[in-house]
Amino acid sequence: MSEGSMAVVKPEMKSYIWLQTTDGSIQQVEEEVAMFCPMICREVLQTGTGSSKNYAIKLPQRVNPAILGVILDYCRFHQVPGRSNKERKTFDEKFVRLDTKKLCELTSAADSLQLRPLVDLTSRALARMIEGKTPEEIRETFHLPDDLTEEEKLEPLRNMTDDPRIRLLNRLYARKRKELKEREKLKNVEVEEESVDERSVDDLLSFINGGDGDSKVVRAPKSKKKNRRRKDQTGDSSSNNGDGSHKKDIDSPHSACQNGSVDDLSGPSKTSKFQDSASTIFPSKSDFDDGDIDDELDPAMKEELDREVEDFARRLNSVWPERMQEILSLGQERRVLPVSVNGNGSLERYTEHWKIESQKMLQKFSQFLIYSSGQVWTEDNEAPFWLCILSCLGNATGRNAAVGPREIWL
Amino acid sequence: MARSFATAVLGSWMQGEGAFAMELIPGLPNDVAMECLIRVPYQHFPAVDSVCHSWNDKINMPGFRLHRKVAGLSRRVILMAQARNNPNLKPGSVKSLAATPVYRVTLCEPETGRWRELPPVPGYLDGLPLFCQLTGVGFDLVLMGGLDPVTWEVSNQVFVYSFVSATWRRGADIPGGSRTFFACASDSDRTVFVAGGHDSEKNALRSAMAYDVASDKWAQLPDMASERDECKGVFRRGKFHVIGGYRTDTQGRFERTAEAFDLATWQWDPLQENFLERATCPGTCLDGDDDRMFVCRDGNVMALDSSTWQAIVELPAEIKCTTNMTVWKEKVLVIGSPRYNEPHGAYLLDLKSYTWTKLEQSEGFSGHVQASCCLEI
Repeated sequence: MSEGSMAVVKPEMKSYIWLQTTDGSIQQVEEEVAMFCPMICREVLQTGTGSSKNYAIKLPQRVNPAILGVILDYCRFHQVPGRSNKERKTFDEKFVRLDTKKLCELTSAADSLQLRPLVDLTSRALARMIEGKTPEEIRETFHLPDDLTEEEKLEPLRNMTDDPRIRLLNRLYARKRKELKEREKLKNVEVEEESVDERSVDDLLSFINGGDGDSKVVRAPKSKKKNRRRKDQTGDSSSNNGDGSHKKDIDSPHSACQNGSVDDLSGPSKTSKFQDSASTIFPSKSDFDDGDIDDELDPAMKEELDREVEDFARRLNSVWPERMQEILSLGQERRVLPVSVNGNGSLERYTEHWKIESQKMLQKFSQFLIYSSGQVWTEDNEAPFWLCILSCLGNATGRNAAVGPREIWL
Repeated sequence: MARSFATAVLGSWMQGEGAFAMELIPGLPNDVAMECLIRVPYQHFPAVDSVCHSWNDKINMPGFRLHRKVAGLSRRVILMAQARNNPNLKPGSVKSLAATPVYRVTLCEPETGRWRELPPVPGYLDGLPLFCQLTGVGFDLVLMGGLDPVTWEVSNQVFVYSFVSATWRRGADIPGGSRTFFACASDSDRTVFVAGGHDSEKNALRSAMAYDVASDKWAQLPDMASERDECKGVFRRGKFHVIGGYRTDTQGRFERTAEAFDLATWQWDPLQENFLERATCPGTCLDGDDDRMFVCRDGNVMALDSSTWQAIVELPAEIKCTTNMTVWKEKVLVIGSPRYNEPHGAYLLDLKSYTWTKLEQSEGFSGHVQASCCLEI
């Protein structure tokens, strides 16, 4: 060793770099590990700091001691040259299994240290956290303000549908959403507004009936009663369950084409007795309307339904025979399956059959839904159980099950 | 904890400032937060779009798309107006020939092999307008014109599907009377160019116009040198090329000429005689990424190198009757069928090795393709 050497490093000892975080604490790190960070590397080479405790490299403000430790773990692993790509990938996957707050800290710190590969890794992990979540969930995860106006907020999360049953369900959701909106309006509306609406109802009715403004003429025929009952049921049960959550998420439909028709329908739909007549009056418009909001799904509605679906699935799996009874006793006019309460044998056989059928349906639908709609239902979430029940009912009764989710479990 | 609360409070206060850059993700500098946002796959754009004001702003800026592109995260998908297979009708049967096929927009991701259907166009629940034109602009898909599938009336409506909001919206109608079988191409950035076609009296048109998607406005372009019906539009090297077509008095006799509209000078270049060398329908004419142009002819794929067309490779038997070609990265997606009215297949032609790979089509996505375009999202 030459006497005049200014190097502090002794060949037989391992060399360390000294780093100082914003809180003042100083720590020493193996040179090869620390030099993996471009920022530290630059500091050492350009300014010569870091070689001793007194000349520790001052790290950026965003790097606290705890997060520095995490980053150094990353550097320590990756700076070893002999590792295979597979090893690195496995390490990376495990490395980013952190909660959002920690990930954000890590990303921020890695960015200030200019550690590009780590920034890449963590931002991808954060992007994965955004994937598959509803806007509300994203807001919660990242503590973001809910500052979009109602018009700016989006209804449709689902953008690809193929199956007519999904369309049907979307239509039911849309109707329910409309209903809730109307109920909202009913609560908030002033007397003057109501009278304005009634006038428009009269106008519409007189227009349709050619001057005969008697709403009773188009009063719900028998089939429409069923329709209304279904709507009322959906309305009631929804008001029982998730109260405030979906109300604030209900927003006016997006597309410009639709606004006109929705306004027309919301007028006469103030009271439920006009609801059905309105839908019969404007068959083409409501088709257009339904088709238009066909593929929209209220996120909060979806959440609520998913919750109820899980609940239902649990109940279904545990108390099948009793549940079966409930289902069958529900729709007298629709009952087709003969179930004898006494004959447990036949009932059990039926339930077994239904269980198998529903499992098969569930699998089939899961696959299908994963394929066609990646957004709402991913490989991780099961397709809602009610979807397969719906199809089971449809198959069993031998006709298209025009049955809403509510009817099954009320 | 306190910090994010403070930023939330400050953030909402600053909301009123408008132009002030809001924090995208509390706890992260904005450029780092952008790194996260651009890594979200395009299927989740609608969610990002409706989280909060700052996210909504950011995702709708053209800079977002460019950032994704530069970072190599954008994906090219192919959108088609494809007929729905009716499983009950045997292909080739009389019944299937008589029935008007129902078209809907399908999306193909050649990378993952996934096929999807887009939601129906509002007002056209019975299927897309027949012979409509599709172009991809930015994050939007623009659908123009066509004939109403039920009434067969000419429509000059424009619909735009935004992949950010996952919804259709109506655009400004094509001005200037009815127009069908026109050339349509986009610069993939902001504008869609339309030229030629025929009006309600089957007169070939020579007028042209440009549609700016963002501002929803049409602008008139100077007329072409010759009238062109059933021409093909290609955007290439900053110019809008219109190829082939026929005149009013020579119906069905396709010409070999082509014209190019130079955006820089706002004028049509002189007519290029003998561009196509042979009089054919230019329907499958295509601009390749590598500055070559392609067309399918006589069972071969022809490429235009400088000024002559050369057959580069033969078409596989399964797609001899070609209906569509779209370029995708360094490959060309060719869709066709062995014979008329048979299920369509899709093949990818690798332009480097000139080899064909079959693109698997999922169940229900093998119908006739009427129009197609490429979109980079």
